[in-house]
Amino acid sequence: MQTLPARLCLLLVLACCSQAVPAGNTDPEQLMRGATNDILTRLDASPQLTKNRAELIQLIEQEIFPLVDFTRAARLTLGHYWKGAGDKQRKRFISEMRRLLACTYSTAFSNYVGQKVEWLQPRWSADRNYVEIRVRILQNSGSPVPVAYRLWKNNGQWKLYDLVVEGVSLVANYRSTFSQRLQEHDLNALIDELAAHNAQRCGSGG
Amino acid sequence: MMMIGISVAFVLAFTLFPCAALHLRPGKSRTRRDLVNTVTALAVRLVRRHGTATLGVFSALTVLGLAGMSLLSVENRFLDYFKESTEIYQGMVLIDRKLGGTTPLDVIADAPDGGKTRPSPPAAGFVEDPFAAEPGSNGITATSYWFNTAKLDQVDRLHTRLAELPHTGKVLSIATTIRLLRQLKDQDNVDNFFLSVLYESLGGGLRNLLIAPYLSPDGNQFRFAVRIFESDSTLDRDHLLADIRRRLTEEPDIDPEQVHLTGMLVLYNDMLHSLFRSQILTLGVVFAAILLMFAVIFRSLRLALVSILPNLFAAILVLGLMGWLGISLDLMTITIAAISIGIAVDDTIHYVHRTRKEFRRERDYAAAIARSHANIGRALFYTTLTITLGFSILALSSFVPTIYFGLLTGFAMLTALVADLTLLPLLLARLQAFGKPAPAQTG
Repeated sequence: MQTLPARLCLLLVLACCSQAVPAGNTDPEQLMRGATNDILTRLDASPQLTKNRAELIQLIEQEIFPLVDFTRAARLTLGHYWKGAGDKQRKRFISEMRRLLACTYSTAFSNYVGQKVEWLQPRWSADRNYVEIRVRILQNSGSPVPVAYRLWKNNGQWKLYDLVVEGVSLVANYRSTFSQRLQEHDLNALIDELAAHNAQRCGSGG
Repeated sequence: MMMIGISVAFVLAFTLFPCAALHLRPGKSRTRRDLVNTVTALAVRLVRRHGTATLGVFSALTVLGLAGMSLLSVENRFLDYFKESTEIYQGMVLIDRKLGGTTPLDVIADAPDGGKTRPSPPAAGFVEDPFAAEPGSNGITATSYWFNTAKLDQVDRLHTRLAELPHTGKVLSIATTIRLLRQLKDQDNVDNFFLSVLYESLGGGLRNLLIAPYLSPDGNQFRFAVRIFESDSTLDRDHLLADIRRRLTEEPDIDPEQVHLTGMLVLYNDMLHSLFRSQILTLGVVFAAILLMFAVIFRSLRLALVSILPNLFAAILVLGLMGWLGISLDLMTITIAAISIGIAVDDTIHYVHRTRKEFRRERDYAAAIARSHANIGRALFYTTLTITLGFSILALSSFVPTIYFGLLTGFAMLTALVADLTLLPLLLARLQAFGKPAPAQTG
C-alpha cells in the first residue's frame, strides 16, 4: 500500500524510455509497450539498481526524461499562472519540475518488485492528436491499480505530459496544490519552496 | 412505581390492618423503661432545660453543613463506583493504565464555514487538454480542506499536542494513518498526489478502517479519537476539555466555532454538571412542595415554615457531610437529600399534628411536648429506625454509589428524627407556633 504511488509512477517512467524507441513514432501504444518492456527487462536484470537513488536518478535523466514534454506539463501544472510568468521563471520552474519528478520516479523505481502490466484499449481524442494509454498494474497482492498515460502529438512525435493514477491526474493535482500556494505567495516564492523541497528530498541530485 | 407502592400501603393500612387487628385479643397496657423511652426523655430534657444550647448546636451544625455544601463537587471517577476487589474495577484499571485509557473523547474540527469557501480546483488555463475535464481528476487534496499535506501537518502537530497531555491516553486520528504510511515507506513520498492516489486506491474496507473514522467523506471535517485516563485521581474534566479546546484554537485558521468536543467524557461531564444544577432546582421544588403541603395540612403558613426547618436542617447536614467527606455528587448521591426529606417529612407531620392536639388540651407547650414525645415519639423512633435499617442494607452492594445512597439516606433520616424530637419542639414552643399558651403558663 505504501509503495503504490511510487510503483505507479514507475510505470510512467517505464513508458518514457525514449532512447529505446525510434523518433517519429506513430503508434503511442507501441511506444509505451516498448518502453515498459525495456525498463522492466533492465530492472529485472539488475535488481540492485533499485537500491541506489543516485543511479536511478541518472537513469531517469538519461533515458526517460527525453520522452516527457516538460514544457507542456509545466504549463498545465501552472495553469493560468504560466501566462504571467517570465522566461527566467518558466525555465526555473521547469527545472524544478524535472527535479521533483526525478525524485518521485526514483522513489518509484526503488519499489519495483516484479509487478505485471495489463494493457487496455486506448482512448483517443476526436482529432486523434491526444491519447490516453490505459493499463492496469497487477500487484502481487491487492486489487489491480488503473493507470493512464496521457500523450499528445507534437511535431509528429508522441510526448507524454500527464499520468493518471486511480483517476487522479498528476498535473491537475499539482496544479491545485500550486494554485493554493500561489494565492498566498508569488511564483518566485513557489519555485524557491519547490527547490528547497527537492533539495530536502533528493539532495543536490536530480 | 414508588407512588403505586405507597398508595397500596396506604389503603392496606386502613383496611387490611384494622380487619386483622379485630381478630387479635387486646393485651394489657404497661409502661416500659426501654431505649426508646430513654431517647425521647432525653429529647424532652434537652428542650426543657437546654433549649438555648440545643439551638446553638443546631445553628453551629447548620453553618458547618453549609460550609460542607460549598465543598460539594461533581468531579468523580466512574472507576470509583466499584470496589477495588470487583472484576470490573480491576479490568478498567488494566485497560486504563496499560492499554491507553478508558473514557472516549471525540475532538472534531470543521473547515472554516464547513468547507463552503473552499475554492474550486483551478482550470488548466489556456493549454488545450481534452482529458482535463475528467471528474475527480484533481484528487481529494484539491477539494478537501484538511486532507492535504499542509493541513495534515497541522493535524499531526495537534495530534502530538493532545497526546502529550497527562490525562490523555491513546490518540487516534488521520495523522495516525499518515504516520503509519511514513514509517512504512520513505516519508518524502507523501505529497498531495500520493495522498489523493492513496485515498482513491484504498478500497471501501481499508478506507473505512484507516481514513473514514477520522475524516469526513468530503475531507472537510476531521476527528481525534482520544481515550482518557479515567483512573487518574488528578483528572479534572472541565479543565481538560478547556485545555484541549484552547490547544486547538491556538492554531492558525481554527476558530472556536469550528471545534466540537463530544463523546462519553463530555456526555458524562455534562450529565454531572446538569445534575449539580438540577440538585438545587430539585431541592427547591421539594421544599416548596412540602411547604405548600404543610400550609394546607396545618392551615397555617407560620406553622408550615417552622415545621420545614428540621427537614431543611437534615438536608443541609447530609449534603454538608458529603462535602466534608469528599463524596462527589453522582446519579445516586444526588437524590439522597430529596428522597430522605420526602420520607422524613412523615415524622414532622405526625409530631406537629400530635403536639397541636396535645397543646389544645391545656395550651401548655411543655406538657404537650412531653406527652407527644411519650407516645408519638416512640412511633417516630421505630419507623425511622426501620427505614434507616432498610436503606442500610444497600451498604452490602458492590456499587459504591448505592452504598453511599443507603448509608447517607439513613444518616439523613436519623438527623431528621433528632431534629424532629429536639429542634422542632423547641421552635414550636419558642415561636408559639400553635398560638399563645394559657395565661397561667406565661408567668
